Amino acid sequence: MKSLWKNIWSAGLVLLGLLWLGGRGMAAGSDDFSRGSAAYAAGDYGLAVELFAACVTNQSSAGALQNLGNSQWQLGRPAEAIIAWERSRSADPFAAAAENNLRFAREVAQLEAPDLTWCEIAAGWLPATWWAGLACGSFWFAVAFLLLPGVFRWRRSAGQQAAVALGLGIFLLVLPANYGVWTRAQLGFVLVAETPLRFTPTAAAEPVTKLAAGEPGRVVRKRGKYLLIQTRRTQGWVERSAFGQSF
Amino acid sequence: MSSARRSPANCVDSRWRALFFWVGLMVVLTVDRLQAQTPPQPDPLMQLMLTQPSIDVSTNVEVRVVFDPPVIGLGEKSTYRVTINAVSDSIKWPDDIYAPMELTVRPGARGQILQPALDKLKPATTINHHVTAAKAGVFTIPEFRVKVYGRNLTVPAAQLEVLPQADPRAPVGQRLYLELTETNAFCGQPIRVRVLMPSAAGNAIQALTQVQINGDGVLVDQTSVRQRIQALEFQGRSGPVFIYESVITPLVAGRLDLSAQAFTSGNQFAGAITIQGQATIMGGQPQYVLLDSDAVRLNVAPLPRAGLLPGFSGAIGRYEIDPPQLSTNRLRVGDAVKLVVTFRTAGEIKRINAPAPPAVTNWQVFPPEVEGGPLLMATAAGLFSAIKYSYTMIPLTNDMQATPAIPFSYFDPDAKAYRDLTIPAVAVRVAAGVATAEAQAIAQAAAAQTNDQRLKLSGLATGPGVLTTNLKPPQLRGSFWGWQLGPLFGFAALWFWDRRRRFYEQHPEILVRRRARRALRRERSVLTKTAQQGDAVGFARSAVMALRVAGAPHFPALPRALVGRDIIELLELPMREGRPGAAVRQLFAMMDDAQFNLTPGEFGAVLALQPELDRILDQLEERLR
Repeated sequence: MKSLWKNIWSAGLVLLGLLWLGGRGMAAGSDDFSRGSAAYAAGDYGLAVELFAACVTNQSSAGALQNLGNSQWQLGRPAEAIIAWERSRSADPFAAAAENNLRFAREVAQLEAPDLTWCEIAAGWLPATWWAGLACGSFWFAVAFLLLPGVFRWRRSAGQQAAVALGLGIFLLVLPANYGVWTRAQLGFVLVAETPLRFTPTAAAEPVTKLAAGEPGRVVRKRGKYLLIQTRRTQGWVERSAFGQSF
Repeated sequence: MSSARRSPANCVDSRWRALFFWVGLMVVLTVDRLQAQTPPQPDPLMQLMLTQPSIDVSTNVEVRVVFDPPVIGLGEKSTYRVTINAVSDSIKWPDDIYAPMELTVRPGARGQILQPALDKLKPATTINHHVTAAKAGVFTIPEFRVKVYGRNLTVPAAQLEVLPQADPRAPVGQRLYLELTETNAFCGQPIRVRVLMPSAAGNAIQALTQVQINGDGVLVDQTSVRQRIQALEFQGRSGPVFIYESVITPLVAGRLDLSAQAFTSGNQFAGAITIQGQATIMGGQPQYVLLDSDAVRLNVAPLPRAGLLPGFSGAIGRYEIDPPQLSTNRLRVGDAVKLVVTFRTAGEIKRINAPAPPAVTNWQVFPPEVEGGPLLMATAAGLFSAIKYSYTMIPLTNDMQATPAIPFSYFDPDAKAYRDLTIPAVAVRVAAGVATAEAQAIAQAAAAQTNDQRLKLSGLATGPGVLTTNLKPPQLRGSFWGWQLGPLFGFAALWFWDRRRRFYEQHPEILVRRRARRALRRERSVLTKTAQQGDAVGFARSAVMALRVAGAPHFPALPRALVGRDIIELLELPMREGRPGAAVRQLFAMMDDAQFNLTPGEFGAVLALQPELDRILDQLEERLR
């Protein structure tokens, strides 16, 4: 009995410590966020980028990513801004600001939006993290209602069968969106202006065309320090350092 | 009865009735048939098609093969030309032609022409290949077979003579030359192209028909075609040259290989033509020979994103605008006024898109309209193409002092930069008046829509919003799949546990025996302990208990209900009658004595039974397995 109390006491202490550390991290993130907002308001976009980037590193959030995108845009870095807004939209698709900023940036910089499949469009309806939770939650929910009544000898009922059907139904419905999240992870954006798109993955290769910063592409293959990307019109190799992926 | 009542008058009536019935039926049938025979109204499109001469596909298919020219010098090029009087789609031409290894054969143009012959059109398809030789000699491309209209057709062999040096007296093969005004251009930039055909021997020139610019990713403007025959020095020869001019617009960035092809058509000119200088035009029936040019490479770059100016509508080149003309500069609120703007360029004006009307709230500006068509203007600086656009504007308030400026910009390919050519504001005096309610409503709606549609960079988020531990979606992380093992193992364990439980429910004796074995092991350890301590009573009690525990699973009874005879029954026959049986009897008798006798006997000798007891217990334990 004594050892049980001792264990509970130790666990409580560890939990308190973790809470304190988490709270401290949150406080630091919140501090960076407000300082970043102040720097942005003062026109110091370089400092704002640093602070919002630190904020994202400590505790990533849709708001910090959106503000990071705004700061990058003000510094004339459309590609980095687009990536930040894409991430913000992925974290919180219900916030209209990131979507608006993406449209604005693409209109001003004369850039095209990525060519999305219907699965990828569906994946954008909810935060990317939710789809995985929904898929595994509904799947295990269905499995539980399929297995547990037999194990625990509950009386069979229509409700249990309905629960299984509901779980499996949700699971099947969210599968395409999960696939969309997976394929969306292959999307990326050209970071450096006038990036050559090459025929072969070598520095001496003949360029097919040159891509503008912020131009979307889809990673098809990776080889060494080069990525084979598919743009809306053509396919070619770009250096990894010149291409940033959303995730 | 009825016949008895039938009068002659009735008989006549019924005959007339029958006659009328049959006559009526025949009339109806005849009219119906006549109606059915009425020819349907002719379909005008079908009529038009039927008036066209049919394409002759019934004549025997023939093939002609030539090298043009048949004699070349080393390093020169000849055209291997195959002409088949069949429709192009019906010819299954091989991808590669067998040729001597000294010859390099590259595919060239392919074209079909329909030649009028009596009431039919005779198709002729020509396929060109460009041939060069690696060394001098006489080379033969052997005969081979192709499928035409599903049947085999033999293409005869053809011979090419290659001389070590070009013979200046040898006839020169006719061919086309493609020239571009720009070989490095931008996407959307109009480029003027020229297809030239020098005159043949004797300065005789002929026309070209079905001129095509071959190549992916370009738009050929057929409306800006110009043809002329001009005497000039070309390819080291002086004489008349047939020149076909058009404008192409590259649509994709990259390297584009363009070539030209056309059929010669003798003196049959398609469209208007200008003849400058002296030219001898070939007479007689035209010989439709397919000519083609070498490929010309056009490097196309995308338009730069940087420096884009407002009002850019895709205009590439060099443009100028004349000062805008306003129909009047004294007007009242609600009056319409027309602003005419003239765009000028030395290049192509047809591809210009007028700038969209500006989004202003105090003027209602209608989309521009073309005034007339493209014009050719002569100025001191030279010839210009020009086009006029008019904007209709209605002032909605009387405090306006000028028309709104209309942003316009173009891309200058020479400077590789965007240039601002905003249509300037024109001073006006707007007197008080009343704009119609309709105009005001339209203007307000347009202004509201424009304001809604104009995108702006959003302000900063006031708070962090939705927090995420990791930007990478969980399903892309390896740990996510690791976490899925938790419920998997949990459910699997539950399932195995349930299976095991159900098995034991069906075979409870296994559990009984297992419990008995455990209990026996406990009793045997007590037995050993009591024997070591010399506790004879405790030893006897544990021994009996152990025997009962070990024997109980074989009887539907609790262990304490068993008596010595029950245990002895479980022993093998020799043991029952031997010392082990006696030991069991003795132990149970001792325990009965201890339990029921007020003066129990001596227990000391019981400890000596331990070896026998061990043998018995071993056997009983074995039976429990």
